[in-house]
Amino acid sequence: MASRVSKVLIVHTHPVVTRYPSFTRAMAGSMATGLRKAGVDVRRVDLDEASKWTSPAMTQRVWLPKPHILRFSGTLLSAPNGG
Amino acid sequence: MRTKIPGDPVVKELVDGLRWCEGLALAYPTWWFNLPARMKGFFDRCFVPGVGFKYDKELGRRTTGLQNISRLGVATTYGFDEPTVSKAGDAGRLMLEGGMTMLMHPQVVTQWDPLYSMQAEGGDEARAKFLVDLEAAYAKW
Repeated sequence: MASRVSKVLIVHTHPVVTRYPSFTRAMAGSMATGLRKAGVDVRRVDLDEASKWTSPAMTQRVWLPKPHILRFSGTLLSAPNGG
Repeated sequence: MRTKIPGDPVVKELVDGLRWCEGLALAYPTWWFNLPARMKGFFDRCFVPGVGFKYDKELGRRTTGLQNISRLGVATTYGFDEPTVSKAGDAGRLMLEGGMTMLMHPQVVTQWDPLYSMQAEGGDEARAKFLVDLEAAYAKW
């Protein structure tokens, strides 16, 4: 059995709107609640609120490759060495 | 060794937390079998030389920088079911369990709590149960 810990850092993120946008926060909340019940000192950092780090998933625009690029990609994927 | 930490105040807060804690718990949605970019950015920005690892001149080799962390907990959601995730390799789990734990205590214990097929029909009960189970699991830490 693992030894008990007295101090825990919780780091969580859910940086885009999905079907369940708050679920990861709820997960972090459940972790924190359980830990505090055990008397553990908890620090919690929500990367979405605390940070302005760029996430490609937030900033990328919809990009549709031109057909010749798709063919090129297909060639790479089917290359003998795995591409 | 002098530690170089980027000037970002969020990074400083996180690094301070990493050095303070005995356990690290992460919660995030798995995207395409891997960490979302922002969580990956946490590791890229915070597990830097002097924090994640150190170079011991006397030993002449790299040493782990976060030996204070003896427990790692991960709770993550997947859109796919478990067989599909296993087939795809689950790169996020490999990175955390197989790689990042090498920067922590040598006997670090990992707890992995996955919620597969989180968008499945009738998943409300499964999601609610997952939260209850998480709370119970972390109450044992």
